[in-house]
Amino acid sequence: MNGDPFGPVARAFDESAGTLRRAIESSRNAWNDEARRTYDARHGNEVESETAAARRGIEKARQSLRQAMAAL
Amino acid sequence: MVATATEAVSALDQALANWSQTQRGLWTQAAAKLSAVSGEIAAERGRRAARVSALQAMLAAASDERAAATIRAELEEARRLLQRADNAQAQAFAAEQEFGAARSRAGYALDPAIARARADLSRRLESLEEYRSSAPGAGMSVLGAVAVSAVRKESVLNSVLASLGVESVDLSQVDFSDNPIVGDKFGEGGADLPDYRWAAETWENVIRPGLADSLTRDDFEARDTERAAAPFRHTAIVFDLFLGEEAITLERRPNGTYNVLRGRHRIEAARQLGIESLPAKVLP
Repeated sequence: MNGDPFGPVARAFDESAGTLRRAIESSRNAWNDEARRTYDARHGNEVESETAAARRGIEKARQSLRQAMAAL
Repeated sequence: MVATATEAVSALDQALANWSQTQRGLWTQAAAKLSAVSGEIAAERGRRAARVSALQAMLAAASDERAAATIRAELEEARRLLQRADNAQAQAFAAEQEFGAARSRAGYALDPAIARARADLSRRLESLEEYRSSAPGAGMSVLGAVAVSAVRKESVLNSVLASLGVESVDLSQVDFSDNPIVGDKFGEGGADLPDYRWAAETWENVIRPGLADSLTRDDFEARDTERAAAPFRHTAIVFDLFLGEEAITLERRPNGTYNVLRGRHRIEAARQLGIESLPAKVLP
């Protein structure tokens, strides 16, 4: 059995979150500062922090699963 | 290449839509993977348990001490392997719990956050479209028409607020120096920070503009029923929260600032979101 079953999931998550981050950055260039700040304060920061929380959850599960495989 | 505000908002909305779909797909894939791995571990544990049982039976039936000694050694090794499988199963169970918690949080926090962000972007796009499609020269400039409409709506809103005994208060004038809300104190009373943020956001983006468009509490309640709104996600409750008996209550100070008597959680959530004003009962 694979010793890191959640590895591909974690990598896919990082790649997709990175795609979102890049899209946001390139889109923001066409926004004025105020529109950008308002969006960040109301939504952007929340999406970012919840994405990070989801990633941490996946990482915790990934580590437990790795320990499970190592224990076997 | 993104060049205009419309393209920027559209591109961001599309990126969020992709992210929403992708992360949902990843949770599903991960759940299937986790289930498969847990199943494999359970199957392996079953094989090892069966091996222990078989060796125990062989030991009981062993005819001489030499054969028994060999079986005992094998049994000891089999029990060691079974113990390892038990540990692996416990770890897999922990992984399931951690994964379940993360997935659940994504369901009640990340998904709605993306949905709110997209709703905001959608409103921005509508505003841009409205601005662009307004026909200049029809008796009034585009900017003039937008300004008159905004003033009229603000007037309607202020009338409604006054009729309910509240007024719109600039949050920058609210004294928060004695704010006791720190860290995760939002969890008290069953409502946590995402709930308060959702309520503040709903006030700003749904209730407030709705009131300016002459909607009533009944309209919001009908909206909740129509959308089968989840608990803690009723717009009519947000209406009550900001305009009912439990409305934010402030005390006006001689220097023009306000002391908070009720509503620190709502005010703090709004401040975090960059919301500049909220309705409040103001005591002299």
